[in-house]
Amino acid sequence: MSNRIKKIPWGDFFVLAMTIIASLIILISAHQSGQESALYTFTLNILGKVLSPVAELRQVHDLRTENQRLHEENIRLLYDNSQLQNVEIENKRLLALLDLQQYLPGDNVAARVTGFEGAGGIKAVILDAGRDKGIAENMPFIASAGLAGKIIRVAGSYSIGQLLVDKNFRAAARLTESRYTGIFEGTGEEKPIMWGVPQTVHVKTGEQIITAGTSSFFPEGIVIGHVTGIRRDPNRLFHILVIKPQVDYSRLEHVLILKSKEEQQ
Amino acid sequence: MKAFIYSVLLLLSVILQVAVVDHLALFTIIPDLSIILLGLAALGTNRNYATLAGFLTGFLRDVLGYGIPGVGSLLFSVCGFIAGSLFSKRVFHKKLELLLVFAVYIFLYFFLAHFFINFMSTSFWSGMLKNILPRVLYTLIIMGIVILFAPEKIWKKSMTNTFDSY
Repeated sequence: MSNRIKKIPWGDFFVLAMTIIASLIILISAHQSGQESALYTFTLNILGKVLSPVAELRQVHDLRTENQRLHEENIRLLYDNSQLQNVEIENKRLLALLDLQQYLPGDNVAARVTGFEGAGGIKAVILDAGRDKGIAENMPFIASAGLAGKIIRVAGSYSIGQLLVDKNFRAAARLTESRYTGIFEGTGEEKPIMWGVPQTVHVKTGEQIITAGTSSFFPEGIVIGHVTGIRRDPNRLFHILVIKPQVDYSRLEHVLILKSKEEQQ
Repeated sequence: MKAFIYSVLLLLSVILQVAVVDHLALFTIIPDLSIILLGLAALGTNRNYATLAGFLTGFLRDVLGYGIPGVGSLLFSVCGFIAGSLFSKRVFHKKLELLLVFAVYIFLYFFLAHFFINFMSTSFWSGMLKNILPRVLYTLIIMGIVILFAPEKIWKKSMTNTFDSY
């Protein structure tokens, strides 16, 4: 009969009671003293030493993650920065055009360059202004630096502009110092020419040339470029002046199309 | 020897709990590695050892944590005793059976822990749904993985080879 009675494990309950009492002593002593005991400080010091290498390992992982995050953020910021620089440049160009427009007579139309054609001596741009904005053929268009070209074809919302370096471009031009006039002519290459100035005239390199205003297309006084070289040929009556256009057409983004007086009327 | 190995593992679990377990957090829910190890220690040893190991584990958690000193040791002592009662001297024939008993044990731990630490600061159902049950589930999943990959002899044979008899 006595074998059937299960022995109560008093030893286990005693251990439990001891641990509970020890816990309560810790709890009460910490509550009364208001600070942790020396045993806590001692244990923490030892555990702290054990934890340090683990924390360092963890820091390596954290640093790797942080490095990757910073790398990604750097790329994003570089992209944002380039976008802001583009906006700033565009803003400057538009402001320059706006400033220029104040000094130009009549109603002019701003247009954005949406395409470029540069094959076989043809130098033309596609502009996002067309018949719907009153654009017509032969209207000149300018950039902030000076004359850029003239309109040669017009569609509903777009037009094609012939750049002044195009091999078929012609305009009456004037030397600003000697006031002699000649014909400015595109060559299809980087450096167009001006001819029609007599060889008896002394021309200096660096002299500016502007539109002469003798044709009905181009108003007078728009800067075309400046003289960079003079080709002298004893068999000719005129100078061949090599011109560097004021407008860098490869970086053309916005232009102002000048409506002729007839069109405006 | 077993007691020594489990003691080292428990110490390791406390260090891991403090140092790296927050990397395993799922929506701020973190598992408790110490309670898993305490259960396994109870499985492999006896109730007295589990109670004492629980006390020391709780003490270390108190030292490394920022709770009220003594609460951890009290909680883990009680849980060690419960673990010893549930696991020692019992033979589990299937892993699922062991996992179910572990589920009860882990639930009891988180239940006591929540109400030991939070007292009456949160409502019962709020504490149950937001804190206790998610943590029980997450810890149980880790326990399930441990049981799944642990060799059978560790959890099956340990039941019959306890070095303490009542």
